Amino acid sequence: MLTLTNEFTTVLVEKIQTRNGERLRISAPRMGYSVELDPLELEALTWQPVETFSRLLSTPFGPDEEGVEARPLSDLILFGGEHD
Amino acid sequence: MARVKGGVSSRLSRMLEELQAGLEDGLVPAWIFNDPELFELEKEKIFSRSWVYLAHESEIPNPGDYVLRYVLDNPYILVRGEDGVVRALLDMCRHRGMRVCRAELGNASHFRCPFHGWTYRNDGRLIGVPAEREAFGPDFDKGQWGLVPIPRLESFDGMIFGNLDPEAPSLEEWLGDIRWYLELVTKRSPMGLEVLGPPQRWVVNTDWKLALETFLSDSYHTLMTHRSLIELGIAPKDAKYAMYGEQVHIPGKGHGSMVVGAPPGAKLPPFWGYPEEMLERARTSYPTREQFETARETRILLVTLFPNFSFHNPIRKPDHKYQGTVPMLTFRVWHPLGPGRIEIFSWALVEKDAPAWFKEKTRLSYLRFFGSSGTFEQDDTEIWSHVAHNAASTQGRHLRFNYRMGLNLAPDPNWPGPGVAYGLNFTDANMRNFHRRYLEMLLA
Repeated sequence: MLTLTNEFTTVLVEKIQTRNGERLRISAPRMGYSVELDPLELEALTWQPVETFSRLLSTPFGPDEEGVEARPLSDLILFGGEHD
Repeated sequence: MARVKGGVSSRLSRMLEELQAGLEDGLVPAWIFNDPELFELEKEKIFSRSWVYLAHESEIPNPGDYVLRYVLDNPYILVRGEDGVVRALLDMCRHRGMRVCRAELGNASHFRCPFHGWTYRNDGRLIGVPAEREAFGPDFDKGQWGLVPIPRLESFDGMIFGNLDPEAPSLEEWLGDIRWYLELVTKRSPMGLEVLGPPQRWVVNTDWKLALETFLSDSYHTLMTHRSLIELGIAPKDAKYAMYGEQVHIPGKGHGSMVVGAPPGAKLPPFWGYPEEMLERARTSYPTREQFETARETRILLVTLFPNFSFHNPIRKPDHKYQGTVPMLTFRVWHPLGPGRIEIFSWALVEKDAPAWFKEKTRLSYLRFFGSSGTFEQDDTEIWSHVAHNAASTQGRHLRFNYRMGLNLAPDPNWPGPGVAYGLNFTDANMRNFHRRYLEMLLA
């Protein structure tokens, strides 16, 4: 297992065995994300321009939840609060 | 065009015009966060005329109790006299100016100067002058030489404020509609608040306005500055948790509040998670039903008074193992020491009639998060110091900061409290309001 760290994050990289082949697991333990890439996906990484990663990094906490509605707090006050 | 009266250099005058020109467009010059000449003007125009928070009444409950507090570089003994009256006396002997009280807190019926021995009662009266008759003659009138009281001293719900300007408006007028938000904390219990010990204090190389803005308007920074707490499982999983609330400011006063509710779908108890018995008491102790209903939906509340007082009252999960939540309340004074330098005074407070177990839990919650070694505090102060450094750097002085967040938001017409409210807390509205007031006082 390899650990890569810089001032922004820490990432673990390890080769894992499946029943019928190999994958590379890349995990970010502090964020709880992990991905297991097969050789074809890894190959595709080799021709990605830096813009691809800029796009992936546009959300610093991983993918943003879609459809979260930020309601004004006044919706909950005196107008049937949910109180949970 | 800014009107700057006497004594201000053309350089500073130009700088203030730059601030004035950009503010309504959400542009604030970096230099205002670290400039020696501007700091001198702030001392004269802001801090010599504003109501400055000094202490909570519960810090000096008994006759003779005192604490030392500061307005700019002026030390004041805030003392409860034998008559029960609270006074703020300049800690400066009338004979040669020596400090007559050099402990930060204590109990004393008298203060005696270590230089020549002039001795004062704790109501400020001079009562002892060594060799009085021989040295000063029979006509010496001690009544003329008492300790100098602060020009103005007033209190609101146990919060004691002082003002160096004898002509200042009343504290009540100064506070205006922000009282509604102050009361969400001061009137949560019919017994009011008490401090949990003396304030923690620490010095940070930053500007008072920068620290203040974080508590006034900057819910946006929690996303990244406090990411560590999200990673530790202590803050809500939704990193935008501080977005789900109302941001309210009081026009013309500079004050503001952030009233944050639970993130959508989050199972957080109502009323900040205070014990049920406290919720029940609050039902009748709040002056209005609107305040009670607002408090019930609140999970994080911040209030900032112009110029340099804030409080922060968040629901908290004390650590990743604890199953429940324990809110905490901290009062803050961002005490200016010089350009790019402040001393933070930080108190933990709790309702006097809260259960004993809760008082202990909330104290620990405060220490872990907002005490001098608290996680939030460490995160913030590190960053504030670098911003202030850059603000004074040769290149940084030419930059303007982006205060445009929420520039096009429409006010929330349904908000039950006073002030101008926005239904989304990711906005710089409170900061822009603060800087309007700040400019108005600097240019007055």
